[in-house]
Amino acid sequence: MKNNSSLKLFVICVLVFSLSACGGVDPYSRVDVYGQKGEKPGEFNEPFAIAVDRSNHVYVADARNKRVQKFSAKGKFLEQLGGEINGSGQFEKPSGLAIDGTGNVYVADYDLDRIQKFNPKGMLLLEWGTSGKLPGQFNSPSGLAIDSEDNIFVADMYNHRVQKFDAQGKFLTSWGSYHPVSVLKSVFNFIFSEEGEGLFNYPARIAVDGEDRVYVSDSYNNRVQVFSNQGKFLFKFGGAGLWGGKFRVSSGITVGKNGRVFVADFYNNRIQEFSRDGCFIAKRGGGGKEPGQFDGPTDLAVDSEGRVHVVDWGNHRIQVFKPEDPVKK
Amino acid sequence: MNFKRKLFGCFLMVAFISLSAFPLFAESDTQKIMIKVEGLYCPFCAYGLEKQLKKLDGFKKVEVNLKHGVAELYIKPGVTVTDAVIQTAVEDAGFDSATITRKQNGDNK
Repeated sequence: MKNNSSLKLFVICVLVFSLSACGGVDPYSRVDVYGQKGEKPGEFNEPFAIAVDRSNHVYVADARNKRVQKFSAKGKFLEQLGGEINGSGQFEKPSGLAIDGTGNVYVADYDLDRIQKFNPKGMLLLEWGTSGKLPGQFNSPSGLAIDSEDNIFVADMYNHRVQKFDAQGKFLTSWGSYHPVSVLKSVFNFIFSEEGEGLFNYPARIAVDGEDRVYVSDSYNNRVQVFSNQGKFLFKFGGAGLWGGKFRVSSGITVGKNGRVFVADFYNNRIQEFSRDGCFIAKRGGGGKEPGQFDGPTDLAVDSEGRVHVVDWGNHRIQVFKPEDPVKK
Repeated sequence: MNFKRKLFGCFLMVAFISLSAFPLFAESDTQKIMIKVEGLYCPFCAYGLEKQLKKLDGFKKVEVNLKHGVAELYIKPGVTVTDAVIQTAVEDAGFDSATITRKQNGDNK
């Protein structure tokens, strides 16, 4: 009986691995690349986060250069926020970006534990947050997202929680606490129940879809959890592993206009695409320096044309994956 | 002739002693501490370790090498940072433990 169970488990594992490994169809074949390591405009030193506004301007948090750079949709440098640290409006380690409907830019600072809000011309409008565990305080905020009512969601990474604020930085609610999922249960989550719904292990990134559902990249639990914008758990997907639909440190997350969810998979050096319900669709990437390859993707964003802009952290560049048929995206 | 050589020798000795006291050379007293950390895989946690190490007294610079899972910490001359303090910083950054190796009179970065 025991041997039979083991055999069944083995067969199931092989089947799942095989099907997952060849189940994805790569919808993107064209890749643009811009940026290289450096300090000059248009260069990066550990780019870390990315966001796209409604006009398809691209903002990149250039972590080591302590600035946020703004580019055209084609990767032409336009201007920058920040530089060396010098009080308000400056950054020590910009780590998360989000842009609201009117083009205001929100920047999370990992080291200074604060959020700053700039208007589209780069003028500082607002800042909030200090170091700590209380509501409204942060411990390494690293992901930002905005819903249709301009509420701000912050992945408060080292506090293992999500915090929600209004557009003026007023604390509204929070959810989550520390809970590491066992790696074995995570790898075999199609057999074992993976506990800890609504709990996190270093949530690094966050996104909101067109229906105001909140997607949290629960990075060190190698999964994505989805919530209502009030923090009610809805469902989860992912798990630790190498094959399609699995992660080795889920990092950046974003949702396209059609509801497709894109997740950066840091240690597998790829990006993955899922349906709005979390079903695996496709994966792209692999480790390396060639176009289409990555050295640790940390964030991504989708523009109105369906292009996926990916932060290729270790290669100090941005890669833009263009769909075959932009209309479909 | 001999007198000139002795004078030149004295000049060289004085010059050497003076240059040794010059701040550029004093930088060689910077302490370099190698911290090997299990699970130091990605920038999300590496930045967390950097953040904690930056808070230490005498902090000068830190360089994290993810491929080797090592943080190179540079501490200003004359400041003592114990292994226990470093271990606490490592734990505050979310890691279990670290192997700490010190290099006396480390390089002058």
